Amino acid sequence: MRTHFIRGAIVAIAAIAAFSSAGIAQTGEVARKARPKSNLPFDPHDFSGVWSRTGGDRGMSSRPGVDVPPMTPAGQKLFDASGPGYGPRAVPPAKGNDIVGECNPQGIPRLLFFPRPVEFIQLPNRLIQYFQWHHVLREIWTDGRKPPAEPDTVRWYGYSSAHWEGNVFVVDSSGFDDRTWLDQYGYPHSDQMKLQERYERVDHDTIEMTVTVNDPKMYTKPWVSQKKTWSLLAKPEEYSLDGWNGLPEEVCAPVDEVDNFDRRVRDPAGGVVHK
Amino acid sequence: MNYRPVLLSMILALALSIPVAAHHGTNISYDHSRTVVFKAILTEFRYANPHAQIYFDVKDEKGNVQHWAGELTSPYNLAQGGWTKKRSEKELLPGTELTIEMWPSKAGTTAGVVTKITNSKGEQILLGRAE
Repeated sequence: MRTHFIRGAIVAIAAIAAFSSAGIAQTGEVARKARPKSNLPFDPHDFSGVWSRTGGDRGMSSRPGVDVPPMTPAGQKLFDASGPGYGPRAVPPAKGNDIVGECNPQGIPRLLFFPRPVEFIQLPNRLIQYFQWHHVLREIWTDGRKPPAEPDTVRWYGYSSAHWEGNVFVVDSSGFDDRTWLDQYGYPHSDQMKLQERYERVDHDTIEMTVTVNDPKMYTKPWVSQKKTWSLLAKPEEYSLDGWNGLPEEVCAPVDEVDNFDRRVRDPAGGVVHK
Repeated sequence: MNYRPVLLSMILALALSIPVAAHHGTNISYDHSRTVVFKAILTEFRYANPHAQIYFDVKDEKGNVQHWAGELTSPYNLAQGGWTKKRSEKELLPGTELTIEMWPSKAGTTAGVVTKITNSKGEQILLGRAE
């Protein structure tokens, strides 16, 4: 009995410590861990529901700097010039250049790594990813079209279409605005990046995802991400607020409020004091 | 030896020390190895994105007033922890006396990330879900 109590207490301490440190981690392992495997029946071709990233780091790799393909000189130059707020190269955001500091769009794939609820809305001709953070709607077309080879207008979230390979939902995208980073650690991409996401619903409650970046302007080889997992949020209280079933509106705006935070808290904290 | 009281107190201490931490890349700006504790008089509270903020006055040993700025987690995480906008603003009116624990800026400025707020009744308030 006493042994069980001690063992249980140690597990509890470890869990609390892990949860606590996840909240402050500079590496970005997401805080909530995946649940045990579900035995409920499911359709592997149906992703409808609200999901949250629960497994894997918030970057491309399992931790920053691991399994990164060699960069081209142009890629290395941009990487060296980036000043992220996370990872081993972290600098205070007051002195960095991460565009999310001003609440600009995170882009894809970075937004896929951020642990906030995302509703997958499956329609006959497309799947819509409805991101709570920034209230972003991303359309992934399933009507047979291909992403444009040379779009005139690049987009923060690119152009995406998908097809099924067995039970794997394969999303191909291009046409990305190169002002975003691949992840919070400052890894660059060009506007020529081709992105492929592969999603597989492996049980009722879990989708596994890998992301492959193909960007010869920045990287000498394709970069395959760590496998990330998404967990189904089955109960509204896991994501909704005020008893209003549905995703909350979490928009990082207006710009003057963001500027207020930056000038009065973020910047002084980083040693930049405004008069 | 009976380990139960020791382990229970460790669990309690850890549970209460879960920080209402920053998620906007700002954690690197703060000294996590040093907790400062203030008897504070609230001057302003903002329930806003990307992070809620608390501004307050403290008196040093000579009676001089210093103005501090504290960073909290996002409004969504506060609300998920039960601290809705109305509830938070009701508890955080200007002039409210609070005990505020924070990790201060590494730069030595009067800013920090708040790890714990206790009201005059000794209740911990504004607990946010960890990011």
